[in-house]
Amino acid sequence: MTAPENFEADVAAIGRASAVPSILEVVCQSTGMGFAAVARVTADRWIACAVRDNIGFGLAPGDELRVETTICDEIRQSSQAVVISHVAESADYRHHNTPALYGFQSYISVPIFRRDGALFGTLCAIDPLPAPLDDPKILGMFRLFAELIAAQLDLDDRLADSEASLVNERRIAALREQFIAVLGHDLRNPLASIDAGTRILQRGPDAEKALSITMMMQKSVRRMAGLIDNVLDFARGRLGGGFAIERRGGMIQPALEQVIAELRLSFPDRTIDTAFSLEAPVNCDPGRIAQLFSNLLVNALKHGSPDSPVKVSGSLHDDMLDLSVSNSGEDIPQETLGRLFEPFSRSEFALYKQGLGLGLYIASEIAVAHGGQMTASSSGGETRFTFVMPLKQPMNL
Amino acid sequence: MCHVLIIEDDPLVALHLQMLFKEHGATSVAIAETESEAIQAASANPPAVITSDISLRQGSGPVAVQAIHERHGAIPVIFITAMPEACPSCGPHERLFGKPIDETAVAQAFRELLSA
Repeated sequence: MTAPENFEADVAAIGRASAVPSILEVVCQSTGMGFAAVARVTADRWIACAVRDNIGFGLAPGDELRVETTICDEIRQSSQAVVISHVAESADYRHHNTPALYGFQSYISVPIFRRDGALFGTLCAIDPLPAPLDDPKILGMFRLFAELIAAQLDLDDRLADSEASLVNERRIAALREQFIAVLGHDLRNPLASIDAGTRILQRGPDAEKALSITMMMQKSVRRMAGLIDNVLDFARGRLGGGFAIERRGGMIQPALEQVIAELRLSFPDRTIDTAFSLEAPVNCDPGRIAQLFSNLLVNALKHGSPDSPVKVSGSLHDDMLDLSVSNSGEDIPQETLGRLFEPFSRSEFALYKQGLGLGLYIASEIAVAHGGQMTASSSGGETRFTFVMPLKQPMNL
Repeated sequence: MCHVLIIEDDPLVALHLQMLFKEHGATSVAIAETESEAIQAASANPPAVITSDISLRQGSGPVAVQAIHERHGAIPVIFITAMPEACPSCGPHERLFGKPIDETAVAQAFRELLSA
């Protein structure tokens, strides 16, 4: 089976080929025939893409003929041109259904092949009267025009590809700029906080105040340390030798429960519902799995609606480890969902308050390093992130 | 009398600025952590000088400053932000500093704006 056909795009592409109207005009003039067309032909469709109709045949671009009633269908199957100067005198075609159905006496049609060898359709012409098509120059001209049309279509495709990759490059460049800005902001802020703390301590506050100052400073140190860890993981994944994991193996539930306990302290107003059944050891890097889980949970706590619980579950079944974190809230659009695991994705739609947008990217890298996968779904007011990994690793990993 | 409004959502930075300004002539200081708190605080006690962060936990420092200016006139402002690169150039009664804070430079700007 071929890829699904986009006929509107084909009609539009032929419409953009500026040489096609002139080609059809030259075809009609040099053969004396009244109707010429470029048609898209597939196994089950015949669609006119461009038409020159001097005889009121009645087809316009976008119009369709039943493909089995056309000779183009035979050309599609044989890949050969068909030339009939005079139907009534042609041994092959005088009893054929098609000339009778459409009322023509002369007919010429040559296939248009794309660069990859696929048949696009035909360049064809008909007329109710016979036409002098036996001259080999006529067929030569049709072949040349068919190649020209194919070359135009290929060029059109390549242009569309370049435009798409340019748009993507620009998007990534903009995100990179944003990332650098957010990185500067997020690193300088806790540093400024620690610096302010030292300046206050230099002024010799009383012991109780000094204690609360140092506790706030430590909070900023943890913020910075976490950020630096993320940036290092990102740099290793992107610039270094890939994401390193150490499969020490072991029970992972205690590590996950510790993550939840820590985050409950950071988000005291939020409810986290847990459903774990992870009674067997897992051949994984438990620290990295805890980091993955923490990134998913922080993401859900930050972006989920604050009055609904965040639900986490983990289970071992069918030789798979399955961890999922879900939150209520506005659905994430499908096109955004597909980019969530790319670096910087979050910062794309909310700059300052969301951090660097590396959490989900790092979670995804950890998943891949374990031979597993991260997926995201969002519908009906629930967004869910799921990590699955096979419990049995292939020997060569 | 010299009242100063500090718009800053980091408690350590706010406390440090409070100490610094008191050492350099402030007689009273109000600290606001959000845009709406800042506007409210300025109405309750219009300041002689404002210092403001750019991005706040809720709202924006410059938006708060603009609202305060509309109500209380062109009070001099010191913007203090972790991203000074992203800020437009300053007017005559505005100064812009990056974080971490350069005490000497901020104190000098504070004194200049007070005496202007």
